[in-house]
Amino acid sequence: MAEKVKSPAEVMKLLPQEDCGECGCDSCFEFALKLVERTTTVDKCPKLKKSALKKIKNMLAPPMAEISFGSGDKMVTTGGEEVMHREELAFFGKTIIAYDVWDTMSEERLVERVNDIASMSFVRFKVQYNVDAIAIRSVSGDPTKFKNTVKKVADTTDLPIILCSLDPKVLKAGAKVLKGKKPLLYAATKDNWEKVLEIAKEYETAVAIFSPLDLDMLGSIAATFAREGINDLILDPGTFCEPDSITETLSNISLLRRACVKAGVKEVSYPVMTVPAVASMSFKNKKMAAHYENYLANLFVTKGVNLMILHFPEIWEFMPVVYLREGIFKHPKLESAIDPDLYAFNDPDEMSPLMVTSNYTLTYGIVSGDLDRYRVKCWMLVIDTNALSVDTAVGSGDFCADNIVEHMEEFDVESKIKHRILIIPRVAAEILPELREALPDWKVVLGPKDSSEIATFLTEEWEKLLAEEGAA
Amino acid sequence: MVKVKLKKKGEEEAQATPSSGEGKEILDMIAGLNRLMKKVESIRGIDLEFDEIILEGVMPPYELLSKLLSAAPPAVGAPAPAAAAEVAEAPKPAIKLEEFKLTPPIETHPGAFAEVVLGATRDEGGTRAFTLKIGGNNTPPYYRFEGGLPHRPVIAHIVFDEDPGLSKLLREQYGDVVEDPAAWAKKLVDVYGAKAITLDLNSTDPKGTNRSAEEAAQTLREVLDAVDVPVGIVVRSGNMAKDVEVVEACAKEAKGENLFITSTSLVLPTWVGVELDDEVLQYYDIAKEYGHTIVSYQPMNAQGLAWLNKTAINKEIPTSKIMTDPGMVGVGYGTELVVTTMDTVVNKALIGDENFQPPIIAAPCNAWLNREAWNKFEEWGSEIERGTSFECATAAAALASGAHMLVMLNQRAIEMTEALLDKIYLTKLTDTRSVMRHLPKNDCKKCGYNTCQEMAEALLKGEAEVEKCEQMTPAGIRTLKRLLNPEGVKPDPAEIANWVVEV
Repeated sequence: MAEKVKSPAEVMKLLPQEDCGECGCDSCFEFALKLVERTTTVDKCPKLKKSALKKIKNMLAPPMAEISFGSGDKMVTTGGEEVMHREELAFFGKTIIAYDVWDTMSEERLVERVNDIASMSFVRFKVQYNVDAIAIRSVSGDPTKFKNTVKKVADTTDLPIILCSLDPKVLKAGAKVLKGKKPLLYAATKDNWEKVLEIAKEYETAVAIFSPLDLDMLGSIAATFAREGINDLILDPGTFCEPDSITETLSNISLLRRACVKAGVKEVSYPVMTVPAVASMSFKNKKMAAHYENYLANLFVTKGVNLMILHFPEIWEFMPVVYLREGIFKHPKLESAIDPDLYAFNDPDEMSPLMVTSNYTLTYGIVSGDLDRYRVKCWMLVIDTNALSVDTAVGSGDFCADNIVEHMEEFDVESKIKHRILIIPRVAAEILPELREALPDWKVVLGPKDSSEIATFLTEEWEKLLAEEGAA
Repeated sequence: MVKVKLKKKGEEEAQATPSSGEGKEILDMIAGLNRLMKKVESIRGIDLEFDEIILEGVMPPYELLSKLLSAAPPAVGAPAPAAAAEVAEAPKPAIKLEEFKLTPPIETHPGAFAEVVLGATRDEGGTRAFTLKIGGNNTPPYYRFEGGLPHRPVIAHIVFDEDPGLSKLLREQYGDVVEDPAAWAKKLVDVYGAKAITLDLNSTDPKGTNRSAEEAAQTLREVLDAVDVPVGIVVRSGNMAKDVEVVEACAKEAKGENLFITSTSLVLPTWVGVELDDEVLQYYDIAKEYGHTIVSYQPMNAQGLAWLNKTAINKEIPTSKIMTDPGMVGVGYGTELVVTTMDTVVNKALIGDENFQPPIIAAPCNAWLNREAWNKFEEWGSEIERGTSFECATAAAALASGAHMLVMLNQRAIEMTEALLDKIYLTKLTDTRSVMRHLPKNDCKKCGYNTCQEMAEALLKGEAEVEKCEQMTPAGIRTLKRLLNPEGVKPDPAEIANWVVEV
């Protein structure tokens, strides 16, 4: 089967063609373009007939199934991929990140670990990032023990749960506890698939199919489950991290993706998962193991893997994986610049400090995050640097004296602010002479190198700077 | 009237065992019918093919039926009499596994990356002890189902000619040599086993220390004299003219050494079709004249890279003397844009576009430019581990996107990367340092040797058994055994372990 080609012109035929603008686009054709590149959704059109809606949905359905598990606000969704590489369009099925607990832990330790996992988070650009799901492993093999563990975990957190055992009796004991909460069963294998299928049907769960190094069996089981009405499936071709076998794992991930998005092989057109937690089998030293796990996780995220189970809930490992994931799964067509303006932070007055930065989303996000974090009362002039960061824009000439002066005039800085002190980032030190020349009435000073140091800098320097100005 | 589904061949008997006597009656009757039908079927030549029969004259009350149902799984909803008896009698039809054979979706790629050699030995006009080869792949990164992985990526350890402001972790590694680039390079090779060195001439920045081109060349000379591994330079004065000046002085000083040279200050015209600045042309002329390998650098700009490469190719510099640098940045700072750039480079190279075929060099050390690698925010955990995890994450993104060469800074991240590459490329370990990478390095003495180093030496000589190490996991032992003898030791099926119980 050939790759499906999606045409905006074909979508256009099904749209009302009134250019009413209610979807936020100027024309129906623009809406069609955006639907194809997936930067808008079809429900934005209020005038679409039901039959046309259905047709468009079918036409635009990605080759890879979209699946979900968990329930309520915390439900997670992934899959829906349609390209091999980000350059072709975008990756959509953001990697779900899960950490594990197991049924041989004491109740106290279990609760502690679940809380550690659920509370591990950091804030970036005003978004809080948390772990997406929790995996419970049956190490004891005892259904009762597993059931109790699952119950305890479900009482402690509302994160979606992955039930891990290859024994159907154990899985069933866990699934029973989570009735209505749609757990992910890990895993159906060539030996247990019949029983796992029964459980999946009875408790309406999602299912991971684990077929190490046997992709034919992986497809066989997936096709069987799909035929039997279980469609929330995810494929695990096995995560190996030893010599040579790791290469096979990397290769298999790409092979499955190619079979799905390019060759249209329906049997394997499901999201793919890996288990970087296997890294902990390679080292007794926990830090070594955690670093190896981090390495594997980032390889997999770059390859667009849709779900990962990790073992070391360390913030220093969680951060880089999420940083990379947020980038890899960001739609390239979405804006990377913010509007230039004079932004007010924490209710500044006419004597509050004035600083300047670039309009690159990342730069602004980091700077504004720091100003919020330390409750810095100030004005931030954001100038148009063609969405380049400050250091890059200094090199390209976009962060220059003329540009800063122009923006100061445009946003009427001189009437909003009484003092005449302008603080510029240290990385822009080289524009200092020309800027001083261009702003003879102003005292232009170098601020800190990193925006995390702004608060300290201002505490130490601002009063002094104001006093100096007053004296002058 | 009750409809009864008869069981087909190969199906199991109904499991239902109703508690009430009346229910049993019906089941018994059905079971009897089943037996009868089986007997009929067992007669040669007779094949019964029907799904249901009608039992006339039986009119069970609803209560009886619901009792019957509650005993027979799976009982769903409140059934009509007809459906009810179906469930009661029939075991679920046996579920057949779909047959499936995956035909690997192999694509043929008319193009391949060029092979580039780093350094030059005495025979080749240089003074390096060995050379390294990179590139040459004709498949996307790690698509082993399409072809082999020809050359293992090389890691160049970076040396600065002026302290760039090393953080705590890096100061632990290089604090003693940070003032002396030659000593720094020597430490990288002697202590840390570097196979290639990149000298970053950051002191040439006119807005900084502004060292002259001659001084830069002198520093390079000292580094070349201090080490015998392939060497490269990075010039990033921020000024095209100065960069070219420095590149020329260095190229001349190191004539014949086959340096890999990068200038990050070359700027392209805004419009395609406008002529390149003279400095850009000079940059490639210099490399050609002195026989070095030249790197085309444009951050996150595949077309720009191709334009530069084309310029070099038009000057009759072969693709085996050019590399492509897409401007790697730390994770969270636009790494995905570099990944996308590399995707484009790989795709075009494999299609056969020569301008994209010079191998890719990427610098995960740039992760250190971002505060996540060194900032002491307590809520971000240990900054020591973070420095390593962010550089490793960046290196992982580069490798997964097809980098042929990495420029790295932190030894812990470099060790992690080399250990990973040992496994991906199934590289036979031939020196103590590489063996040490896979040992616990805690000198516990339980193996009978005083240090892990002694154990490593013994392992290389075949005088010790990996199993003697008590500090390694079974997987760790398998890994080291395989790497010591890739041909002789077969993959262990135990590797397909059930992580659910073993992690």
